[in-house]
Amino acid sequence: MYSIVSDLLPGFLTQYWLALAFAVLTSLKFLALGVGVGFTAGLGLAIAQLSPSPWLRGPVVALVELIRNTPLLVQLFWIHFALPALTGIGSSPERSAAIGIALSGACYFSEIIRGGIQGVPKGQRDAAAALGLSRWCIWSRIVLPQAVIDTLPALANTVLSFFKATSILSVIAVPELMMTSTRISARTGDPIGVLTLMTLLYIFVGALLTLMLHRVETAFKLRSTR
Amino acid sequence: MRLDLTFLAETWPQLAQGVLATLAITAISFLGALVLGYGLTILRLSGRTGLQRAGNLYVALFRVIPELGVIFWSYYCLPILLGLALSEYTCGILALMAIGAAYASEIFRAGYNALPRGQMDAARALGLGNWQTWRLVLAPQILRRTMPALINCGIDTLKNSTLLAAIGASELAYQAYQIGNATYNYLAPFTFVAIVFFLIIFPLSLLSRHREAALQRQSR
Repeated sequence: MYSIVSDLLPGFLTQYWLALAFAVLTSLKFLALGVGVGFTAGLGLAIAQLSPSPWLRGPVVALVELIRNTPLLVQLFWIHFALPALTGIGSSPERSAAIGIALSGACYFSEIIRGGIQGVPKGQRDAAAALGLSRWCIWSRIVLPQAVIDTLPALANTVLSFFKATSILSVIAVPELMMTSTRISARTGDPIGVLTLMTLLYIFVGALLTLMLHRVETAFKLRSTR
Repeated sequence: MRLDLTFLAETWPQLAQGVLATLAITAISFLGALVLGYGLTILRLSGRTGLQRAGNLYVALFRVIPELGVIFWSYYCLPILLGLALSEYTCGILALMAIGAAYASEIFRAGYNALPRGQMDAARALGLGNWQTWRLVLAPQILRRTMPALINCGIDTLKNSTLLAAIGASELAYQAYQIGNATYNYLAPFTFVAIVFFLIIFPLSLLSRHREAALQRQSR
């Protein structure tokens, strides 16, 4: 019987803990990018998805559907290997990963926020317009805050699923936690110890994120009911 | 560089094999996930604290661990732990089943909890037995209510099946990568693969949305 405990603690951990710590930070860096850029761009895309002009709405809806209905791995492969052939500009794994995760984030967030916007009663917009508020003010102070607060649970879920999705960046050789762990595992020849520790790290960081998101959620809910 | 589709003439056997492998992996994994998820739901609704906790822990764990992590763990660790030689397909499918089961169980449980309590009592009052109550009254309602979510779960399994490329299972994405490596033409095969996935997934997600909208109308 393989003894997990005796192999987990010594050996690779003393040697590679720094590499693992950096790998976790790299995963979180790409998560922050996907969520930060994705959410911001998602707000804009959501408004564009609801635009009365078909010339604006059409391409945005097509992009969102295209990204949401193909696997992220295929998108990453396409961006990393196929896109440079099209543009003639070479790419690094990090750059491809950044483009891929930000694009995917924008489309998934856009779809959620769009649902939120449609959930805000139309009367709110009419009332704001009747009060003479500018369009910018109506969107930024009335509609979007309500749309975001109403969809906080779905947004939090998406953040968590993007944390998991950062592991897929390993397929184009981004040195995040998954990639680093499989490398250490190959070097030490101890897959059970290394990959189990990796799994525990994902669970730990995932649990921390869940806790944080929960706090943000309750904080926003409190503020909005006051 | 333009999109050259002549590559299809030479590589179609490889791509066709990839499509079939992707569909087979997805179908087996999803069916397994439904069966496992069903069993898991029975555990979680059994009312026995120990079983319930174990079931809930399983679901919580598999929802937070990245899919690729489960796949790698299964590929590298299972053969050692079990002392068996397992192919990348077996390990990958087992991982996809284990992940899908957690999500399917969440869906089944939500569907069961959404049933009005009176249904069970009414069936009892009509003199239906356990099995009849389940088959004629509860199961059809749960299935109808959870259909959109189950379709989405199937879509996720299909998307996750591409991750088996990372352990060298020759499904569609892996085949495209191989063709790209051999011909130095990545644009055509990857575009082709993206289109194939879109053509399979998009109708399914439209169907899911349609079922969802129909349910919303009914409940109003």
